[in-house]
This record gives sequence, C-alpha cells and structure tokens, in this order.
Amino acid sequence: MAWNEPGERGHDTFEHTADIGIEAWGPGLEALFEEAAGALAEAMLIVDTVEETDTLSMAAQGEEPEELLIAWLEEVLFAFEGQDFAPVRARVDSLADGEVAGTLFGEPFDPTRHAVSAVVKAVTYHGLSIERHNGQHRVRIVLDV
Amino acid sequence: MSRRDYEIRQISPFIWQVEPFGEMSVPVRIYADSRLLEGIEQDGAGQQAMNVAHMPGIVRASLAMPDAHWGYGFPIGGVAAFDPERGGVVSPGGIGFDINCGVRLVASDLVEDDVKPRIDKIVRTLYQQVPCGVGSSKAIRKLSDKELRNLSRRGAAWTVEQGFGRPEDVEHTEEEGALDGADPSVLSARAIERGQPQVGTLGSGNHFMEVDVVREVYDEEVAEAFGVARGSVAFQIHCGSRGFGHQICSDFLKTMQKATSKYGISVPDKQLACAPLGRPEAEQYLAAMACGANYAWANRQVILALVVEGLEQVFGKDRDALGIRQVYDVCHNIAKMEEHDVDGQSRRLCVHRKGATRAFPAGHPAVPEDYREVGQPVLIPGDMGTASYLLVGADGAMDETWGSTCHGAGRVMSRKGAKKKAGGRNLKKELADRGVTVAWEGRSTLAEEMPEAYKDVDAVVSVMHEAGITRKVARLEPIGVVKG
Repeated sequence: MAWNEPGERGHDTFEHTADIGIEAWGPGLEALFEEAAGALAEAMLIVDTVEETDTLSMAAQGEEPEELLIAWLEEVLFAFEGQDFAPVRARVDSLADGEVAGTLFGEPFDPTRHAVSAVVKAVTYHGLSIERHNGQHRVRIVLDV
Repeated sequence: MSRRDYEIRQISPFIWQVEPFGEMSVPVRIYADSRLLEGIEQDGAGQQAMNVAHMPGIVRASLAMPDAHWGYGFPIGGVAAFDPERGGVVSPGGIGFDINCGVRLVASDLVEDDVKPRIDKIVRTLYQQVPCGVGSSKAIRKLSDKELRNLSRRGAAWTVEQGFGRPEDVEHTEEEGALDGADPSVLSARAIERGQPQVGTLGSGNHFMEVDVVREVYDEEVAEAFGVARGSVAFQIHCGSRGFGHQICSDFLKTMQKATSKYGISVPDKQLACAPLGRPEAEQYLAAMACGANYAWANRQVILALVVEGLEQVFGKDRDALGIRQVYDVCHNIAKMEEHDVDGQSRRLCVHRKGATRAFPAGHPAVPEDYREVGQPVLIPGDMGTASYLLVGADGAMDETWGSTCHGAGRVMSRKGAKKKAGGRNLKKELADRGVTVAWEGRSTLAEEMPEAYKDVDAVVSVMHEAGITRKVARLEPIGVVKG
C-alpha cells in the first residue's frame, strides 16, 4: 500500500469479487472518517445527482477507533436506507473518547432524480485495520452489497 | 493466497486438502474440479477458509464448496461445524448479513406454450407485484411492533394465518418456515424499525424472481416425487431477511467484538468475531438470528402469495387451476444446532452455512414427509442467462459435509469488473436473444449480474454430484427474470 503525502486526503474504491471495497486516507481520524463517509455515499449513489440542500445530525459510539468508524458508517447507511436521506458527504463535528458526532449533507431521497449506484446491505469488519504512518491514516473497508 | 504459503493435495477426485499449519487446528477441504479450484485459490476464498480453520472448537475441517468466492469473514460457500463441548463458537461472520438468504421453488401445471406468448406481461406483473430495489417497502401494510415480534417468532406460518399462501407451502419449507428459539426481546429498536415496512419485498443485488422451464430431468423418480415435470414452468424467488437481518448482524458484530476479547479468543479477521456456544452473547445471537431467519421465511411466503396473485390475474385462473404448488424453500445463510455423527458418536454441533445449502438425504427426520423416501430438495440458482438446478441430498452429505452442498454459481468477477465489461453492450437485448425477458430496478444491477460475472453452474453442481453429496434431479432454464 503506497502512502500519500502527509496532509493529503481522499478516497477510492478497490476490487472485491462479491462486494465493494472502499479506501479512505487523511491526516487524522476526523479526515479519515469524513473521507470514508464520502466513499460510502459514492458507493450507494451517483452523488452528482444529489444536491446538498439538507443536513442530518449523526452520532455514534465505539471503544476502538475501528469500531467507532464502523458505527459512524452504519449511521450514513441508515440515513439512506432507513430515513430516506440521500447523502453526499459528511463532516465530523467532534471525535473523542469513543464518541463521534457529525453532520451529513444531502437531501431527501427522490428516486426520480437520484441515481442509485449500489444497494449496500452493511459495513463489514473484514480485514479492518486503521493503518498509521507519518501522521497519515488509511483504512480499507469491505461493504456487503 | 499464493502456493508458497501452504501445500494443497488432491485427496479424492473432487476434494483438495490443505493440512493445518500455523494456528489452524483442522485442515481445509475444498470441493472442486481443477478449474474451479484455480478460481477459488486466486480469489481470497481459499485464504478465508484457512482463517475459519483457526476458530475454536471447529470439528474435522473447514469446508469450501465449489462455488466458493471471496466474502467477508467466512468465504461465501463456506461450511464449518463447532462443538459446544469443545469450546465451539458461533460467529455472525459465518452466517452473513443477509440471514436466511434463500431460494423458493414453485412448480406449476403450466407449460412453455402457455407462458411464452405472455412472458412480457408476466414479468411486468411480477415486477409490479413485488417491490424491489433500494429500501423497497410497502408490499403489504407496515407491520406494528407487536406483529413484527410475532412474525419473527413464528415465521412463515404466521403469514399464512394473515392470509398469505397456504399451510402446505409451510410444510414444504426448510424447518417448516420457523427456527425454534427465536426471541425478539434481544433485538434492537433499529432492527424492528427496519423490519416493519419491508415484509414482501425483494431487495436488490443478486436477488431475483424468475420464470423457468424445466428443460432436463436427470432422475425421473425423484422429479416425480418433487412434482416437477419436463417442459413445465416453474418459478423461483431468491431473497432474504432485508434490512431486519442486516441490522441484527451489524448489532451482534459489535457484541461479538467485545465477546472475542472477553473470552480470550484470537481470530485472524475481525469479521470472524465470535462467542463460545452456551455463553450469553452466543445464545442471544442465536435467538436474534432465528428471528432474522423467520423473517426471511415470512418474506418469501408473502412474496409467493404476491406472485400467485399476479399469475392469477394474468391467466384469469385460480391457484388450483394453474396447479401452483411449492416444491421447497431452502436457506443458504444460517447457523443451526444439528445432530451429526463424529467418529461414530452422535454430537450436537453448531453448523454454519454461509452461501451453502442444507442437503439431507433420504430418511432424515428433518426432510418433509412427502419427500422423506427420496431426500431433501436442494435449489441451486444459476446466473440469469444460463440455468438453475434442482438437486436432492445424498448420503455422502451426512458423511462428509455436515449435510451441506453448494448454493449457486458463485461470482467470479467483481461488480466493477462486470460493469466495465458490460460497457456499451445492450444486455437486455443479449438476454432477449437467449430467450430471456428481463425487468430490473437498479441502475447498474443488470450489468453487475450479467452471466459472465458468474462461474459455470453446470460445473459447480457436477462436482457435488460426482462427489456423492447431492444428485442432479432437473435443470431449469430462465425465460423471464425480475432483478432487484
């Protein structure tokens, strides 16, 4: 796994036979969480078809950073699947002591305008590990579709 | 995984074994021909089967079926049994998020000539009857909290009491459509919330409804016992427990992360988090998983009723006049406590089947009375352009695979790869040229599920046939498909 320059952030997908792999990187956990949420939104929706007219508050708990990240992504998933909110990106407002709070940007899901990319069933723990290197954080996550 | 790390040897014409090394306590056994084996090894599935061989209390071997492919936690196509008296565990990663994802096969007296001229209308009607795609809901009115709890305790039988289908459908369902021990008091509020609006919906991904013609019959006697005749039309429903099951699995993965460290268990993948059978975390998970399994059976029962209603509309005849009868319903993502013979002793084991189907032989008490003389029907859906199979459980399954066999064709291409390969092609027309009419919901579903994305289903079922685990009964070819 090649490391990006310190301070860089971003996300991408990787190949998986049955499911979808997402990868996120950033200078700290906050950036990592935001990038991972963006990657999940892009796995679910063609985000260019969604406008950022609304917000939704999110909060999650988890002892280890990995568990907290999964819980955070499950909130993004539930916003779409359970609350009909089409997400584009997320912002972390606070992250400490096993708790994360943030804001999801998007709009109410409208199947006539919004293009669904994949219906994600769940976020897995498969091979999950947040790697750290020179202040950079990086994670790969398999989504069950 | 690369050949450098381990040795694999052929121990019989269709079984390949990796001896335990490192922390593995049992060998890995892969059912495959040499071509399927190559695919299993290149993909992550072989490595995942080795990871399973590390788990506490695993008995005899970590098994991979010929359709095995890279999943998360267990490989998809993985089977393993755990002994509660030897520290054995239950792991949600050995069942999957879609608890009791499964297949229902419905036979009819219709023949191809009755159906082919109306196939567009039939496919359109099924598509309208059964909601599919993202967050699909409202096939029936939203259930109350109390109704959902009753449904999750009693499964398919509860939905029949509400007017969906018939008691004989339930008799022809694995576990008669309900696992014992379901306890909705262990479910999260969010699981209930996600489950309430989704009964009677198909979902997405590889889930489908299909109109098939029985093209080949390999075993006349068994086909007759199953009520399936050459040239007749049959219907398949493939789906699971929807957001309800997904939420149960997600909730208990968190519980199991903590349980794994609490009980001092070490596993090579966080998705294999588990708890020893008999401990509260394990028992609560099994009680919740049973709720998820029962939801899936109820879901397929309601979908059957919606399909029958649609066919009655199209043909202007009732269910009896159409000769519609349920052959069987199998689950292929489940863990169950079952009696199995281990070195001449009967033991109660927790058998995990992740992308694998129960395949009990003739005479087994769990096989419905109507079929007990021939064995349990096993339903193997293939890709949407090729074929599906009806099999029957054989004695070899009890001797070797904890009464289990393959579950489908198995993916061979990533979804992204399939979309790339499908780029610019008119898949709807390609399928129409092969005699398959298709309706679908998701924007990219059709491309992701294209026939080339799957292994050769004929080769997969042949391996299990030749290995004496399941025998081929009939081959069904699709003429109409609805994809989620």
